[in-house]
Amino acid sequence: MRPSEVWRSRGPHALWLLPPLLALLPHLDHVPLWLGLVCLGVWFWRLALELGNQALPPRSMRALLALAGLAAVFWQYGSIVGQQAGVPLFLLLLFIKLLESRGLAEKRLLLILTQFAAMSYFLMGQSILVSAYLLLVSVLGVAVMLHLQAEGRQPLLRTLTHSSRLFAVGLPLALLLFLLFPRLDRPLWGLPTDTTSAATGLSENMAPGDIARLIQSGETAFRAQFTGPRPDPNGLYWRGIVLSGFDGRVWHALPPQPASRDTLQAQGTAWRLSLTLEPHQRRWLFTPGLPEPLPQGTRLAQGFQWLANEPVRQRQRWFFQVYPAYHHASGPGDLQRELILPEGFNPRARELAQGWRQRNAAPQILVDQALALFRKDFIYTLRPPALGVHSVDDFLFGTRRGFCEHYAGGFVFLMRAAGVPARVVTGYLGGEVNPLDGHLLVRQSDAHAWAEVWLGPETGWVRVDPTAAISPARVEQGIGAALPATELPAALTRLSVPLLQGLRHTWEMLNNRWDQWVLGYGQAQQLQLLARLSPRLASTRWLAQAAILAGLLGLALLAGFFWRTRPKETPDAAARAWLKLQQRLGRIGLAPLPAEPPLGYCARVARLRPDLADPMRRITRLYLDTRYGNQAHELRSLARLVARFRPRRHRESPGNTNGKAHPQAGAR
Amino acid sequence: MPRKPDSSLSFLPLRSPLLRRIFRLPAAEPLPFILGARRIYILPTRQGLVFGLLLLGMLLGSMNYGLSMGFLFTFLLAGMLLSTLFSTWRGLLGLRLTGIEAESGFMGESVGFVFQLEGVGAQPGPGLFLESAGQRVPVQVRRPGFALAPLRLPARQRGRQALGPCRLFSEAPLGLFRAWCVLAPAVTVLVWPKPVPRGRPLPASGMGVEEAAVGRQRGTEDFDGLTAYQPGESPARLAWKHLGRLPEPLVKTFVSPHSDALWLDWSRLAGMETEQRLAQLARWVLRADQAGLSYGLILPASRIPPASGPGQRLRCLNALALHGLPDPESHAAV
Repeated sequence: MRPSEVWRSRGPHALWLLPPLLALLPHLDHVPLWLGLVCLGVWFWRLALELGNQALPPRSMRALLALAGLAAVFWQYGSIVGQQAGVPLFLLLLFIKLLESRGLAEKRLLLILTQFAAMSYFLMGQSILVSAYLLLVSVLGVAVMLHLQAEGRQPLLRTLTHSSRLFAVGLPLALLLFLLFPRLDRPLWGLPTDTTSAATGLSENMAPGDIARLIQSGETAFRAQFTGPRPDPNGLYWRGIVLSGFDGRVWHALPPQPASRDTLQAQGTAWRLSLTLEPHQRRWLFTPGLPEPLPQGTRLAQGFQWLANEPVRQRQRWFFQVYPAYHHASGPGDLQRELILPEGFNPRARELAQGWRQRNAAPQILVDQALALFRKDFIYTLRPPALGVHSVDDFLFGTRRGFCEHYAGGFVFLMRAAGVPARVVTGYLGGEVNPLDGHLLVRQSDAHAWAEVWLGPETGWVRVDPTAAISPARVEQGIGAALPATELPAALTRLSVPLLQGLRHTWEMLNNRWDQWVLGYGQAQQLQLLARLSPRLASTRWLAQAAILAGLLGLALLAGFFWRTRPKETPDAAARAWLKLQQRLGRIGLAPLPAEPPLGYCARVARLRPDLADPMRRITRLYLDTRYGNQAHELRSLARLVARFRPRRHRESPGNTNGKAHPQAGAR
Repeated sequence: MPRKPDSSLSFLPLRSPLLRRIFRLPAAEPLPFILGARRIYILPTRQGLVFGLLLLGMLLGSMNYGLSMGFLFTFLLAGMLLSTLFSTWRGLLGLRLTGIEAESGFMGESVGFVFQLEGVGAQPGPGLFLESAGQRVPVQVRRPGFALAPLRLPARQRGRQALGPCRLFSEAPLGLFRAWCVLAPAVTVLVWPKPVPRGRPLPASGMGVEEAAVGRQRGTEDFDGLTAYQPGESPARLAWKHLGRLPEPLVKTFVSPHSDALWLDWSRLAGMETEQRLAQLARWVLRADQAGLSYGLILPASRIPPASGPGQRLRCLNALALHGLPDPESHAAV
């Protein structure tokens, strides 16, 4: 047979293989390459077997494959449970199961498992596109199940509409449950510690080159929506992680102290905003100023490090107000740790700073001197040359090319060497305002590092951004303007065509709404919803009850739908009326015998129940006339007669004829 | 001897009156039977249970990892699952069993019950099945709204064989739920005695003494008149034109010209056991019928005048099947 003929004859039999493949495709971006290849290989093997109508591989071989897969996943992840290893393992076993699925029940089971495999991708991402794709896979999966159940007699297109209808009918119930099913504010079991590796974003360490790498990512870090005055996003520093420790090469965050001994004082006017943070699996939060009062579930640690009480494992929203201007002071004991430098590193930088100090020890003068040094002939670039062991020395006196982490790190080193308490702070600078709804989108590519310097008890800690000294454009116009065009990573090449830009803004706004209202829908939003119905209802106890009610209501809706959509197939009104009569007589034990014609039936009923004889004869006559005698105009009187015909079972024997023992049929 | 109908439906011991009461099963179900909502039972199939468990797993996963989309899809699939539940149930609701046509057979072979169903959907393959005594047949849609289910059961014992409880079930549309309805229609079929393999040769013809007294014999060739229909008579002989008008169905009778009638006489087989005698008589009936002879049958309790053709064959075989059994009319009366 030629391939095209094989397709035509065997292709429909292989239709059930389509959903597993479609469910696998998105997973290919996170599973190891070998696993993806094995799954695809097994799939094509199964397809060939199906098309050739060949026998499946023996049981021992499948068992061997499954064991090998188990071992390989264990070797890759060091575990076979947990989200990270569990999803690839599930996929692998699902595809090996393809090799043993043959009968209807097995294929059906496989398609059910496929639904689960498709859904598991939500652990990796829940964007609009991913959700739409998975919905399609799901609907198609059910359509293929319908196709299988009908033994292939229904074309896929019809089962697709059937499947969509099934989903559509279940939709009201799904929406009600989505809104009201109680959400938890913490995980059910342990900490999903294995989720951390998937996260991109700032980390508690900063080595030269780290932020330059992060800049390549166009992923969203967070979104902010200001209510009331909106500050200019350019020059808006989102303070994140305080890095006070230095080991000669890497700046790192010191273990958080239980409580802050800093004194923080708000000044001036506040901004109100909501911050929707993408999950980064850590606890730090980002703020453009001093948050006051602190929102629920957050606290301040040593060094004005703002932390959430729980790691941010899902997209979370905080509403708070911040004071962009504030006074921040530390006690003398705490300042000591902002001066520590490891011995034996960067001798030339140390020497330079100590020379400055000997000339003038005023902190502000020292800061200016360092910035003046950077302004001279340093270059701001994403691709700085590699640095040696004495990284600060190499940078300051050798390469003189660097990105923000080089400048921030070098600057803080100089300050500490000169005896001025200083530290590195990482976070984000700038962002993009969506002109449609005004929300500010901050991407990973807006990541930035700067310094904070202690200028004495009166001034307190002051932010100094050495990058601004080299490349003022970075601060004023954002990262896209600060870098030469050739160095711009793909994520940063902004489209300049107005129409496309408009589309992009619309898309961003949609994503924002999606993130905030759909994905960010949690317990707090549920309670708000209930509170909107009635303030007394806003408690988790009511939520559970509301969810149960919603479930029941949804169920009733479903039942009602199917009750209402009875197919209209009853033959004709006369037959219907006759059937009703037979049923009523059947209830009192006078059902028609098999193959008993209407007149015979009538005669028998009349003989056994003389009291019913009269209405029975009239109805039979009318039935025969309307059904066979072309007297359709009598239909209504037939229906009326039958409706009034309500025979009752005899109390006494049929022979009894005295008085009122005969309930007159049709009398009512 | 006729045995009680074997309730070989493994899932329900329906002979117990209590269970019959619980499952609202009348002792003898009148036809037409309409499947009402209270008679339909529904349970998930094994795959349906797996689906439910997976949904539970997805729900727990969504709760643990705070996946909004996980919640939405879990509920969406649950809604879909429930809508198939109703869909399966609706597939049975309102079906009408309008008649069951019984087809007799020889003992040891099979008897047939053809169920006639109305109110099925117009789609091909409604996913309906009929099951009884371990036999399962798909319900075949013949034209929109009308379907047949020809069930064949082993013929166990000579005499009347009742159709035991049977189950009409559907797993459509997804095979995740099975809805079923247990029916116990009071339908019996005659099981003819199994003819002996070879047996004695046919007795010589012309032995009948009262041949002349019988006068006219029913036959196949010349139209003679109309007589009352008896169960088992060939439908080809039914007087269709009169069917709607008269209280009883009539059949046309014919006479055969030849008169050298053959009598198959019970008494001639003296010395054999009852069942053996019947088996021998059945073989004779078949042989005589095959040879196109005109033959009559004499049993201790009945006597069938000589005739030929399929009608005669039926009459004789039915008489053999019912030999020695109580009169069915005694309990068939209302």
